[in-house]
Amino acid sequence: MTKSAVEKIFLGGLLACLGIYTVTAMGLRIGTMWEPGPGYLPLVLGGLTFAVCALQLAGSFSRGVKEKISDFTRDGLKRLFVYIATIILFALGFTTLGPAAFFLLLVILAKTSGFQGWGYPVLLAAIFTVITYMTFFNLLLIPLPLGIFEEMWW
Amino acid sequence: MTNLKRMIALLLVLAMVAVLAAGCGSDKQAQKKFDFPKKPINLIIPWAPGGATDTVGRAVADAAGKHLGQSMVAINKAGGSGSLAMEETLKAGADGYTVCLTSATVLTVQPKLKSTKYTAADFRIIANIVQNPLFLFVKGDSPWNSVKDLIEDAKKNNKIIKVGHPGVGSANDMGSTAFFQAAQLKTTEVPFKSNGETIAAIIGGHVDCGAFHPMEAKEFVSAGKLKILGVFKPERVDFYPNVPTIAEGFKEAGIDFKYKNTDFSAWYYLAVPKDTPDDVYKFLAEKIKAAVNDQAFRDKAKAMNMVIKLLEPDQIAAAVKDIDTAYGQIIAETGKKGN
Amino acid sequence: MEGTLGSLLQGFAAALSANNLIACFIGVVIGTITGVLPGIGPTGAIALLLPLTFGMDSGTGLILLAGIYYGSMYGGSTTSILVNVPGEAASMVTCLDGYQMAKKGRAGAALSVAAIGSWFAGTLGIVGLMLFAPPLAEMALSFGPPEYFALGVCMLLLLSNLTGASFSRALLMVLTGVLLSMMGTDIITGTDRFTFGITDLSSGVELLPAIMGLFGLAEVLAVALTPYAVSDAAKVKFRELYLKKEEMKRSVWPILRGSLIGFPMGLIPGPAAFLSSLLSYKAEKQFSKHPEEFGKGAIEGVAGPESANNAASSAAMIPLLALGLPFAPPTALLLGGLIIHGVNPGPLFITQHADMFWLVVASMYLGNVMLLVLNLPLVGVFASLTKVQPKVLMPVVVGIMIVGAYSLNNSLFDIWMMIIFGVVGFVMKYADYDPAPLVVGLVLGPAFEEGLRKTLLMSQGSLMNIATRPITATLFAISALIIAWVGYRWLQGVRRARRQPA
Repeated sequence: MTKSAVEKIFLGGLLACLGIYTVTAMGLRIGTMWEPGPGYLPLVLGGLTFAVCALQLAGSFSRGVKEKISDFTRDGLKRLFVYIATIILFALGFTTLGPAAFFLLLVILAKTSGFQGWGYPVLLAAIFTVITYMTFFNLLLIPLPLGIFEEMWW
Repeated sequence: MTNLKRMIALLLVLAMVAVLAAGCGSDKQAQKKFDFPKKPINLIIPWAPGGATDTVGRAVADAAGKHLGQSMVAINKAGGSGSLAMEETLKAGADGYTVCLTSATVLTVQPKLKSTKYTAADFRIIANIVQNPLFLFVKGDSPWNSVKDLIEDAKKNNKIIKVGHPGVGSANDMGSTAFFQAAQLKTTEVPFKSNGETIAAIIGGHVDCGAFHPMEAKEFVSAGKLKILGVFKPERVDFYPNVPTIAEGFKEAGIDFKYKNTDFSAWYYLAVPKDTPDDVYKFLAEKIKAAVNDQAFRDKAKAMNMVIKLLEPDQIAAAVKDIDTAYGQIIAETGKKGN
Repeated sequence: MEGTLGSLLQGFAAALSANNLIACFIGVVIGTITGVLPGIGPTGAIALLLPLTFGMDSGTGLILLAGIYYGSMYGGSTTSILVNVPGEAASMVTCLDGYQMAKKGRAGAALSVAAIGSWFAGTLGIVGLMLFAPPLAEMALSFGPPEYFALGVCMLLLLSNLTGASFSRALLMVLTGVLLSMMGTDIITGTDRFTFGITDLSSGVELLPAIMGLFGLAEVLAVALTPYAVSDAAKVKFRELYLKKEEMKRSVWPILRGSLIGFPMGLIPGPAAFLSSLLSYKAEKQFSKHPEEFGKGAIEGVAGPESANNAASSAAMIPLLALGLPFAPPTALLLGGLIIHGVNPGPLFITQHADMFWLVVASMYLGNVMLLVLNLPLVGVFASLTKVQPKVLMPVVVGIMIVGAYSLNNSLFDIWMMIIFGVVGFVMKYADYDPAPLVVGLVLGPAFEEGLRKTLLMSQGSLMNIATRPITATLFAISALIIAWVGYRWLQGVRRARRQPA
């Protein structure tokens, strides 16, 4: 993958978001220049930003530089994918699984980061989960989600 | 390295013991008996830390902890002018472990201004905690010394009054809107992020007036930076016996204040979702009342210039209905609307 | 002057009592911890400990709560330097050069200069607080909506291209940031904008999850892609752990300039500490003889901003103590704490409660010294974290960021925001887009939009009052100068390009 390919992906995504933003802004009360409503600046700036973004996207196509990104190795991309997927799965399951989700997140991330075997990741995750939950409940008085362990904790 | 391993093993064992101890701590024998509360109760506060409501919430959570047999944990959920906290409370379930602090504006005004996922009917009020009276303030060196001065000056010179308030649909906003609507004066509303910023804008001369609670404003009155024109209540209050009611001021100016029987004070309530079991509800109501009657809490309320007057459930319902009607009328007549 | 000295000495006498010393110590320790932990900031910590102070004497309670507040400004830089995760919003800019210094093995130097700069600026700020509180507080009151609007415009022009990357890229990012800032409930009409039916979004895009994602999580993902190697062969000598002579020399002026920039900024309502650190960074880059080092580990880029945000946090106590008007969430909580203790700070606080004022001032001097003594030995401990293998450090960093984001509002929503911004930040990194201008737009958007709309409301649709108010006129004159200068530079560039045919 080249740098300009990543740039195109980024600008393309941003352009789509800006389009949705500007269209949504049209649904708000616009008002006039001297008496702007809630939609006035979002519409004006949204349109302006859309134009700037479109120009840059066009520019990225005309530029001929094809600098390869050496960081995108096969193993690296695999790790990156596992990281993102694990974090998203964690966010989905945090409220129901509570500390177990937190523990699993840490185990998988640690294992993905290059530990041999499961012993150390499990140990690291267990210690960190316990310390975190203890600190937040007892010291900081912030109730982290307990999920299915709700009954057991109290 | 072996030392490190030993350390880690030791830590792990300690951690496991701690978890087990925590797990076994709760006894599971008394299943049938009424064993509420088994764990700390969450109190959801609908505003960010720091304001008057937040301070009340923290003080009541502290006092309630001594009566409930479990601690009460204050959790701030700011957003949507209070509606986020109400929705979170309903989502958390009707088991009594999630209680919210709320006010008439959050319960009744927000559902009128925008599409919220709740109405006042979804909640059952446990107790009224404190009442925070609302006053109309102007800058200390303002030429207006009374409601009459303000109304007559604005009418004669066709002035547009700049009114500051801390958010559309707040108790402050509803009070000042009622005032200017009844007086039929033209206004420009300038909203700010907090009471502090609004008061700063009045003292700095950026806006003309605003409605506030004495907790935030009374020091500025004694320093001569702000002046009180009237209180938004049917009758005068004990701690400012010389301050006339808004209705009295209107009468002087020869107008009838159409909300003269409405008490615009902000009441803070504790509420639970309406499906909360009766025994749990009764238990909470009794304990919260005891907490409010606590001398320590009374002292704090007094320091904040708030009034404690515990009411029976039907009286609370009547008060909420009263203010709901008044707010509804104000919103309908001014065309105030969120979307 | 003599009266001041006498009152201060009395303040010290009271602050040195065992109770007050302990309260001050607990406060600064908790402040440091909450500063180090990303997400849990001074506001959360003060809210948490407020009930604990109910039983205390009001002065002691205030000392403890104030200690948390200024203490947290010390710890904020730690995670920025070590793992590129800003502990507080105000430490975002420290990521730019602090993290690069740590990568070069100078984490110790970066941490020590942050601590020393914080101490100096904090102390200088208290001197200002002590001597000029009442007149400065009156100045803060002259800031109305038109002034905010002018400030927003001026700062956007000054700070948009903070890191000096390509102009068109920075422009796109600043605009995107401003657009993001307009999501959520519109303060003027109460309308929900761009919330798509999600109630959580009605409070808008919050700053902290956004910067934790854009900087912290994006960096974690980058490390997951290409883990860095830790070489424990290169043992750092104890003397080199702290500042080298040359580094010290280079930090003196940035610390002084940072303090002078931060102090007046702290008086202004709004995200003062955050803006002051950005301004200081910009100034250092402008004054530096080697601006090309910025972004690659220039010590000035840590020394200046870290001093500025501490000076600003000391100055933010002025509107609170001299007027009773809190302009930032943590000082609003301090006010709540005082009221509940039966002390109502207002315009008469300094005269009516002189003993309490001087007690707090004295305790702030003591607290800052405690913080320095506390933080310098910690430098060694924290610096050794850079020797921890990424496979151990990265999962732990993710865990800390997640619970930190959760604890902001006790909600999963902020975790999602952080994840989204993290992935976007990662893509931006490889597309060569700088996240700093995006954050600048996000912070300054409200000052710009609300300021403009309120100004128009107040003047019934005219912008004439901007020219007639001294502060706004000055700020707009500065803005015009910036535009003129940028235009001049651009023209020069064009001419030079013409003279040298390619």
